[in-house]
Amino acid sequence: MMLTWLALVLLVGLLCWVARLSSILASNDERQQQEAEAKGLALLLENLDPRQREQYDRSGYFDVVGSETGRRYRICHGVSRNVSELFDDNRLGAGRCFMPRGNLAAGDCMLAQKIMLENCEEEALRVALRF
Amino acid sequence: MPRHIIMDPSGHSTIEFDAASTTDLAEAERRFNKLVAKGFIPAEARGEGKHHVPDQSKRVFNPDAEETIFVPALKGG
Repeated sequence: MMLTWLALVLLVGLLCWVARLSSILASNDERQQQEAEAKGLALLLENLDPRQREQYDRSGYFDVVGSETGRRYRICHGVSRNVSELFDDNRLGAGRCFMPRGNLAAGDCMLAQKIMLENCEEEALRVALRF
Repeated sequence: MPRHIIMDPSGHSTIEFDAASTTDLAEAERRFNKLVAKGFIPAEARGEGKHHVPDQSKRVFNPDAEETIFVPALKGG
């Protein structure tokens, strides 16, 4: 009887310890993700031109001009399905979904999309999927 | 001081190097070539939100670049 109680107490203690450890690991992951997002966003803001910066601060998106076609694109905050062509009257056209490989923060992802469309539009559109 | 900014899941890593040091420059060139071989796309920051990305066949180390951002290879979503 005594042994059963002891085993039960040990089991409950072990379960509590595992739950606490999982919670600590989860909060570490969350903190690292938040740090990555903050760093990515800071890099994006450093690399936007003044007009794009103002547009992003105001609306959460910014517009870029394609290096080869001169077509305009809107990049919205996000990591996928966040790039669309723009008509002359600013209506959204076809979506162009492409992003850098790897699990990047939103700021880094948007900066990569801007750099590619403004410098190597064809290279970006070659891999982009329409949506 | 010139720097390489490598986009990664940590929100990018920054590596500064001394352009006056031949050792640092050699290391920077090795890093550049290794990243380009892995498919990273080098973009030289030119200030005011402007960048320069060389053509695919001309992506070689530029010792005069103040800041190079390495974008991982692209994929369709």
